[in-house]
Amino acid sequence: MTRDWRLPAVAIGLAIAAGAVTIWDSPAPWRHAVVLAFLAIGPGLALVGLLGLDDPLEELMMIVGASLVLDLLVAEALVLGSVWSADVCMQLLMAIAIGGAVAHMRLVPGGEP
Amino acid sequence: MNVKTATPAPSWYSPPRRTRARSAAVQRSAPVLPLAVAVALWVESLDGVELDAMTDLGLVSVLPPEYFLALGVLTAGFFAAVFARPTSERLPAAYATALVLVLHATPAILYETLRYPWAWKHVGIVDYIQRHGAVDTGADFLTAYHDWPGFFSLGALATEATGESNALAIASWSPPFFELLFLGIVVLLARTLSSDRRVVWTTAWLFLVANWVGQDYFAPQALAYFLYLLIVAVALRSFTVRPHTVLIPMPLRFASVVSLVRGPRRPARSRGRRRLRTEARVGLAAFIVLAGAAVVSSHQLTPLLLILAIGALVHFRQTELPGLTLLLVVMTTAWVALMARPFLEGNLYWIVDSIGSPTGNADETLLNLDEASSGLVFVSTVDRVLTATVLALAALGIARRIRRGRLDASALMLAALPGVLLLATSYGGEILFRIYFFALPFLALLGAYALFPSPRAGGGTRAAVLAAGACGLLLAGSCFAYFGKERFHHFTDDEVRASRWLSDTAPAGSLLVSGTFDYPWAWRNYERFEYLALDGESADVRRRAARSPVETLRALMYDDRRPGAYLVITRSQEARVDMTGVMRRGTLQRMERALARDPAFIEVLRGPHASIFRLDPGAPR
Repeated sequence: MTRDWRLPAVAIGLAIAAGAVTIWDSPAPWRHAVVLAFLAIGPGLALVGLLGLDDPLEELMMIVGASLVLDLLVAEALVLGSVWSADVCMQLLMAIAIGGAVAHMRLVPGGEP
Repeated sequence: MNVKTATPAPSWYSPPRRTRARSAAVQRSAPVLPLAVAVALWVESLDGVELDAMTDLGLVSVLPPEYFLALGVLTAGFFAAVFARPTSERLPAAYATALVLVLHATPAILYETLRYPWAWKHVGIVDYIQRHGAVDTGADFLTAYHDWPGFFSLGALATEATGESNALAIASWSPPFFELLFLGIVVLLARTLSSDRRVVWTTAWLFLVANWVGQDYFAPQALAYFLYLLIVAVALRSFTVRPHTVLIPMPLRFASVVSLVRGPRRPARSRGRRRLRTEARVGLAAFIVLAGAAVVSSHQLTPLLLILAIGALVHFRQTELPGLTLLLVVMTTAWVALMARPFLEGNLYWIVDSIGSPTGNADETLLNLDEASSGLVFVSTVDRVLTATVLALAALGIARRIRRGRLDASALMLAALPGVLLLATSYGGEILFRIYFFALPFLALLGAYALFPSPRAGGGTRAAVLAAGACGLLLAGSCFAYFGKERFHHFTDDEVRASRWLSDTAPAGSLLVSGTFDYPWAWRNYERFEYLALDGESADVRRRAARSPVETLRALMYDDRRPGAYLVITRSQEARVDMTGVMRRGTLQRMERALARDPAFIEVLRGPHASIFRLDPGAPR
């Protein structure tokens, strides 16, 4: 994985796909695959891309780790605040993913750093 | 007769282009072939497995020979791939991924229901969050889960976002998911601590085959463990001060080794240090803090180990994150003081009791085998031998490295540190498992050094065969150790149906009694009921329950303030009692027959694998 447009594009694509399958209540296998893929890598994808790590395995582990941490902290904040809503949680995570992707595109204009 | 003899081709000979292409293709595909064969054997082995025929040896007793052949082919193919020239990282990774699937996806595919009773309880906390939209930090039962709700909040998110009504489907696939994460992070750690790719991949394989303790199910510790290893990896890779391996001065003197490991007062530039931009280092530090917060708010034990590990790495100058230890201490203390006080108040007595009593803490983990069935004795012996072998391999690795003048300071520290927990807590009788689990990635690395102590040592076919043989033996042991308790870790549809009926039908406030907690329990509407398992009662009560079940159960269950009291007995509970000997063999079966004859107990549900009785409080004694 390198710091180019692909990471933010995948992050935005996954966020939109996760939103779409949730809104249209897609059948189980598709919804499961898209939503779980988004939760596993979506929120951390573009953000970790900003770090410019040179080892693909390290970048992958960081993407998954950062995504799960963000998912967990956002969900936990809503639960502890007694305002739990999976839809709101997904929207916040999509905003993080898309925000990270936009930041990535602004800060890393193209190609290798 | 015209006999053709093979003569070597002259040096100027160049085979036709098509032959060259074919031979290159064969060379390329040869290492992939065992992988394809192993996967085909595995898929074939899953067909027609008779789970009902399982013996006290667990799942191993019903898996066909093809399954074990697949594991053997995978092991041989993996080491062939590790030693192959030209080298490739993808091939060993593909073999290791296949091993994870063969070991950890098999139960998810074979069983129709979620494996392991504790996982059902965790599904129950997700169910609570789904229904209430909050947690109850002062809950009477399962308080710890409400006080550390991070993982369960994530579980609720994944469940609802996928449109599921409960977390059962997601929980079933947790073991392969978490094991894949563990594999990735162990390879990353091994790569950080060693530049020898044989060591890196052998570490990964050793970790996978020796990880028999089963902490990969749908549980906070699995996620916290991954994050713990990831934080350690980031600290070691991106905030390195000194090389992770130090040269030992000869002649060997203790003081000189200590001063070498600790290093100079000022951080030294080292070869292991990576050049990262300041923004990247800030980003990674921010990640560590956020991941630390996720660990602190999800699990009770992992933050302690994280503090110990980061503290030791900073103290011995293996990483330069001096404020992190203090920050983790503050976050953990603040969480316990503000969020987890109800848990602390209810459990302080045993926490204080277990401080400073390592032998007592260790004894609580070990299963008493005096009354156990021969199958369980064999399984428990295998898991102890497996653990001892991993420790012995690691010790051998340390010795062989020291002989070559190398001390793997970081790995040694991270392998030894979890042992400190033995002084601090029994962790509800699980502490030895947890210590082994936290130490395992680093024990595996040191064990790999036993086979390949230096880049020049063990380069030939003999080393590959030796490594494959050692790992193959450990894998055979792991199959017994990991799958050995499946008679009571696996539940049939009938058992789940009975449990669902009970949680949907019993009036709120009812008491639910069972022989043991080895059944799908507390996973729906869990907070509406009280729970009691006979195997958790005193030895005297257990004896009386076996001798005169009707009177004993009536005394335990009768309370006119309760709207109902139920007894649930399942095949899995019977298996647990018969295998462990916690009560006399056949106690639950005799109990079932006695209750069926007594008018005080009404049989409200009967299936092939589960019975439920309701106490009729008005019945004549």
